[in-house]
Amino acid sequence: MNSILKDLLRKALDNGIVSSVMVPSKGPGNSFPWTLVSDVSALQRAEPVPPVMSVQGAKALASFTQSMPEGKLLAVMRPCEARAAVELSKLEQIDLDNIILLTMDCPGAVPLGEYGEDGITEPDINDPATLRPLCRQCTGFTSAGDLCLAMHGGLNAVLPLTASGQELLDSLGFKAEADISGWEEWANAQRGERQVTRVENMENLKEAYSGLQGLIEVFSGCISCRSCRTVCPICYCRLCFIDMKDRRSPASEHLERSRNGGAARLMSNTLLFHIGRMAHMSLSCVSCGMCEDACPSDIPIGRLISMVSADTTAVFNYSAGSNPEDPLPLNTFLPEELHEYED
Amino acid sequence: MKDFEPRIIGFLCNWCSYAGADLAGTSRLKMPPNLVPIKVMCSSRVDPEMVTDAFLRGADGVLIAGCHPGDCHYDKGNYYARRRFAVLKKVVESLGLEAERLRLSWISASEGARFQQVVEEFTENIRKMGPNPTGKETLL
Amino acid sequence: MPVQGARALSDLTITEPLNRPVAALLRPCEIRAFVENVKQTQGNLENIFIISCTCPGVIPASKLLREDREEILKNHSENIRNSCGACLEFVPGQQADMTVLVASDEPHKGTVIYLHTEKAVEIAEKLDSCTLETGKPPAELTSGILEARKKALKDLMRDIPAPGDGLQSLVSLFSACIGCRGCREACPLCSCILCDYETARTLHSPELVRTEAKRKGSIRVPAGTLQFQLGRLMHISPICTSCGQCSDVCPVDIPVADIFIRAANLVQESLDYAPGRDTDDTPPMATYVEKELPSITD
Repeated sequence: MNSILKDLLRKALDNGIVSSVMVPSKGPGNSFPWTLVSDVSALQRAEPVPPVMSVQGAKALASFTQSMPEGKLLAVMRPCEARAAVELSKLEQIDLDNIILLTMDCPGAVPLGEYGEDGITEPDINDPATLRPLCRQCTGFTSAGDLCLAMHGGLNAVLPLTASGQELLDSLGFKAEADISGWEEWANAQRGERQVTRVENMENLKEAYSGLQGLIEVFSGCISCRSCRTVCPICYCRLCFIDMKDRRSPASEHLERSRNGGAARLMSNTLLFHIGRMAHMSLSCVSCGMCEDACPSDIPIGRLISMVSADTTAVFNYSAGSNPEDPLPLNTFLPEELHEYED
Repeated sequence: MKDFEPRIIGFLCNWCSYAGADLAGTSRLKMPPNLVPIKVMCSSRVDPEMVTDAFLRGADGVLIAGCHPGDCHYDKGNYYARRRFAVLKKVVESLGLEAERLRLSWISASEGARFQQVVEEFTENIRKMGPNPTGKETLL
Repeated sequence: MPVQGARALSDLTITEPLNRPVAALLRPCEIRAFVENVKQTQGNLENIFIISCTCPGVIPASKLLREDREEILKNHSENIRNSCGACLEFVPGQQADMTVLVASDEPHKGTVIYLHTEKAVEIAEKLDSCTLETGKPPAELTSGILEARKKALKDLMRDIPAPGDGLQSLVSLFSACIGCRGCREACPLCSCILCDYETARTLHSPELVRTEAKRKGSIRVPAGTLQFQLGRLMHISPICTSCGQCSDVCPVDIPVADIFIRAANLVQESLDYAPGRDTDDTPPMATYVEKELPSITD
């Protein structure tokens, strides 16, 4: 573990400034489960930036923070996880009041399915083959949450991004960094490069899979396991719209469709599910790529949703998870807007 | 292991086993204080979920006690309870977990002495097994 | 097996029975699972004509996503799922109307079809390029496969973790679980609209998670990974048809099906229940025998 981060976590717990720390830990085998740590000694197994994303951090956080009874919690997570946590707080699934989010310069994550095999054990920024496709094109790889561990451009320090982050650093006696320009330079250069990749990838994807036929093709391998939904931090509903009883088609309707088309797919709501899900969550999508990692059929689902999300968020000039003060686009309106969508 | 005092959760049916426990108490029968009784209306009220929950959260033993077969206050609740317990026991066994920490006993309202004996015996067995490792496991 | 056939058939017939005949091509485990669906009012057998086969097993979906896909397809029998390799019920039971001989000890010429019902005989009259037989496929045609599978099942059962080290091995097995619930969604028998393990009744409350973290020093979050697996085992093991779909969808390669098959074998033996055999068999948890299971009570 990074020594500065280690020092910070230890001191924060030891001095009782936070009552617990949420951080991934090294588990048996090659696993990295999230842990809620209350005792300093358990920090020994902490692995703040594991090579894989096992569970999206915001999802882990939301599993026990709908209400925050007492004591501060320090959550160490990747920038995309912190952004998802902010979205979940807007969706009233996480109470962020007593939570401090600490992120880092994220090196990306190894695809779950590739991890360990072929010797891929660490993500390498310079080797795209070691990174999940969405990590390769991620432009939000740093500076999210209240604090950020900066490890590039000559820096190795925890930088405050918000007042509560600053407060924590002050209470622990961490001094402010005088010069962060090298790190900012690094981040800007990285962001620029990845933005190019991102635009390029999205264009290719759009070309390959747009239109009904394209969508039918890309989702033809879908086995309806709904893992993409279950692992998604934003999809928090206990009962999804697609599983409601009134979505079921009567047998006669199935037969009718089969007669009309010569054949009809059973489990027929595949496209409805995916498009419906995009409609529900794309505005809050943080492009974490967890859905794509979980897909047993290797569908580029994360890239597709991220592509859709780029378009839907652009309508409202919204950036998921960036600013806790920005209201969810569908929870607000302006009297004069979106005239291009009406007549 | 000297300091180890087992903590055993006991689901006792209202009509027989809880009354049996009461009788054991009013008869001033001596027994180990390790069993934490939870009164349920029938042994079939015990969802296996409750048992696994207790088991995975570190209960050293879980006892379900109900009326003898044929004597159920609701006619046949205990027969269903027995089947559910069989599933539970076999599942736990198949996973290599310690199935001996789970017990189903029939104890009637008049069997105060039997209640004492079951609690004594079960507590001793569990004491020999030592603490349930789930109690300390952090990655469940 | 991209989707378990019973799940697809249940999707088709859950709201109402079919009003005209439909032939369904199903593997034996898919038939058994659908019979269990019917018992739980998750489907209807009316107007369904079942064509099945002596099943050679299926290849795990993940293997077919690999580059050496062609090679794997060629060596079919060496690449089937664990659950298929240990499946003793690869010859369809009484629910099938006709059985196509696919898996057999010796290679056979042409298409051989066994007809089990009058309807099958009626339909088969028009088939002139196949060898038609009535009755079940003779046991000796597949006895070699059965022996090999029996041995594989025995090995699978023998691998049960020894008591005492069970918890540790379970914890490490499921430590990599990402909680995607794909195993549950793919299971043809997990048909609840809202799973017990998504409800407030079983979800660990924030207070409990924090208390446990304090008591143990640290605790895994989201909590309840083993609780979910144990719970699903409890619900499904009495009726599990050992199809292996749960292992197939697991993105982190946990051998979920092996675990389920072991539990199912022990549970079904003790309850004397054969899932999917007959729609008239009462579901095992909805019935009882007055004198039974002496070994688990006192």
